[in-house]
Amino acid sequence: MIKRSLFNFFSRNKPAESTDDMGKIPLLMPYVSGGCQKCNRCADICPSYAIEIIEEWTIDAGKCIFCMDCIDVCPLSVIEKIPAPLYALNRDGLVFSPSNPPKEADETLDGSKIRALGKSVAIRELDSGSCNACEVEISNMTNPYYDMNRFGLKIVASPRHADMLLVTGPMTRNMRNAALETYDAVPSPKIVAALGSCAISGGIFVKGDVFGTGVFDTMKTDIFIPGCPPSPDRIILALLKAFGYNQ
Amino acid sequence: MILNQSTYCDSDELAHLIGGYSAEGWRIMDIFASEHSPEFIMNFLLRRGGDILRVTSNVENTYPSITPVVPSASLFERKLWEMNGIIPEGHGDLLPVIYWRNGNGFPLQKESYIKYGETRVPKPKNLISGAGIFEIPVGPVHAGVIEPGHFRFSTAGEPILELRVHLGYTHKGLEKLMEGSIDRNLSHLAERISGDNAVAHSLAHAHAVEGLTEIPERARIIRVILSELERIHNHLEVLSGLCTDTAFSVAAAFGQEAREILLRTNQEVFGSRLLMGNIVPGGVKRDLDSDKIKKLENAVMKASFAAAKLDKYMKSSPSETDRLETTGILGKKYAEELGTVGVIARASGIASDVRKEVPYDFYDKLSLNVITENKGDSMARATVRTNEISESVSLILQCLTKMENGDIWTEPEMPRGTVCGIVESPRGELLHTAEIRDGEIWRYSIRDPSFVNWPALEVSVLKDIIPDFPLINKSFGLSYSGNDV
Repeated sequence: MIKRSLFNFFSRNKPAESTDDMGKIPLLMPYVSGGCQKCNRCADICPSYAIEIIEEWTIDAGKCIFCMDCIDVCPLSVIEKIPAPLYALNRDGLVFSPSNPPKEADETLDGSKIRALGKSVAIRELDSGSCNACEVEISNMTNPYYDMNRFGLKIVASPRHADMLLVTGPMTRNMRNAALETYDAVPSPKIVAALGSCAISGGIFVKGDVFGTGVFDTMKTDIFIPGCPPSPDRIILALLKAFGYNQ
Repeated sequence: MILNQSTYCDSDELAHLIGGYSAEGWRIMDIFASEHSPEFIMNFLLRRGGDILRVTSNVENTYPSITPVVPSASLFERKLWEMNGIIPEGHGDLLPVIYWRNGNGFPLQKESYIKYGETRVPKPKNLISGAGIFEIPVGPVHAGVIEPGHFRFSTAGEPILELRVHLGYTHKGLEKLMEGSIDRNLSHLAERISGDNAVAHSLAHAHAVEGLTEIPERARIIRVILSELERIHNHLEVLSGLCTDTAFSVAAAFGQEAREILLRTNQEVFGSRLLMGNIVPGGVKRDLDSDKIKKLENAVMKASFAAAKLDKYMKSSPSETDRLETTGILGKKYAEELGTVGVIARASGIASDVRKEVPYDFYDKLSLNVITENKGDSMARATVRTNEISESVSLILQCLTKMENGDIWTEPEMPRGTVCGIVESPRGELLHTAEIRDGEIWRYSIRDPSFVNWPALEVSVLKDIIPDFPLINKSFGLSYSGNDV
């Protein structure tokens, strides 16, 4: 009987989840709304140098790896967990402080680019030296739960067929030339999305053998998707919102 | 594990000594050098069953290579040459492995490391060439969603005559980044050596820097549960990937679905889909309660069912068996000579499993079968993986029944000297070795199982046709990032 019920579970014959069901589990990031005494303990312990305290407490969601170690060391317990934004269209849109609190991302890409794409986006995934966690989540985007092909998002085999480069990894020095050649091979108008903390800012590897701080030092980047790694539903939602497809 | 005892050997005698050990059945786990200016201290870590041996030698700049005697040392010596600047004389095939000498100086020497230099992409050359032989370059940007690596085939017609794997594109200088003071950040870094093996890497790191600290039993049980959960989702990925590569979409969707259920349970129970941020030196970060245990039990039972079903799908479909059987055969002789570990070794008939031979954490109190196959082809590797999923499920269920209340964290005591953490990752034996001086890490060596298994891929594709290569590569399921550190 157990076997039968398990079999029924697997052959559930349900369609993939709708966008309303996606993004239910928020990506939590640390945030201070007030009361910080600037003892600098959280900034010292941060593995990816995401917290800066100069005039006020500042968190860079593009650097954060969401480990929450800062919460453990705060003597005043003023650091709280709040949902991180899905995406941002410029790098400054991921830096938050008490005077600049995070808000839900709703901007869309430049109209001419969206019109050129139509309703389908051919994505070429480019690994610029990531730890392969982002690759795991990108390949999960095609599984029966998410099935991103129905939204018009599809992974293509060659940069020449692609509209968009989905870049992961901190852009290692060894991979840079190949990444530049891939970028040149994508026909214009091209869109570049930086996926994950490494691609946005170099993340935890920023002091390693990498070029610059993030992918945008090598190529012009249009979409920044934070997370380490971001879950598949967040990637799909971020892309759909940035393209203005879910309206 | 503390390895302060070592057998000292003169550098001229190394080839003789290591060759002798190798003939007696010892396998090279890791070779690394740490700088104690003006000399280097070479460390050779060997293992035979449950015994671990450390051989050290003082080397100035050159030493006679041991590769002609022990072929499995080849990649390690190439890495020594480009990272430390030690020249193994008479190696015969000194090509860059991961760093490509793009700066001035050597990254693992203490002084002369200048990070910003010109990148020199190595110009790979195959040995077999001539009229009628085609050379096919593939990569570093591949067709699928995989990591970067360059493969160069020499073919005459369809069969592959030679394959050379050129990696290093994802080199991030992690061994250098791990040096310095020991703090919590290092386990975050260790998790990101190879993201899908986050638990194994952070566990090996924790074992290395914990030394002899007594870890609470509850924490050790949770560590075993985490390791086995990771093994299940990695194996499911490879199995569904194999089905995707053979255009068997029904089975592939089935495997992906089971995997997604498991990853969602990971998110609910351990706060991260890939189980990141759970293992810290001294214990674990998140505890289990009865509610979470129930969820875990449910999810692993489904995974076990999925594994059995996938096995049935794969073996009853002629299109699948036709592609997988006798494809990419790795004979036992080569598997032993190249020092392969993990699933690949077990599919070729070598019953090596760290969990059984050098039990860590809670594995000595659990009953575990080491699963082996003899054929060494892609189907054998797939079968080992499906059977290991059921074995992992059994281990998790054993752990859940043996859980008692208690602490999950204790203050770790820092060891001194050379310490190593050795665990069985989903890909095989994984080793982190740290040399700790004055409370700081002086030299940190990472040996991912992929590093020793990549050469086996070069051997196993011979005589197969090019369209079978993606399949063989997937059945090996190796990490590029872990190899390049």
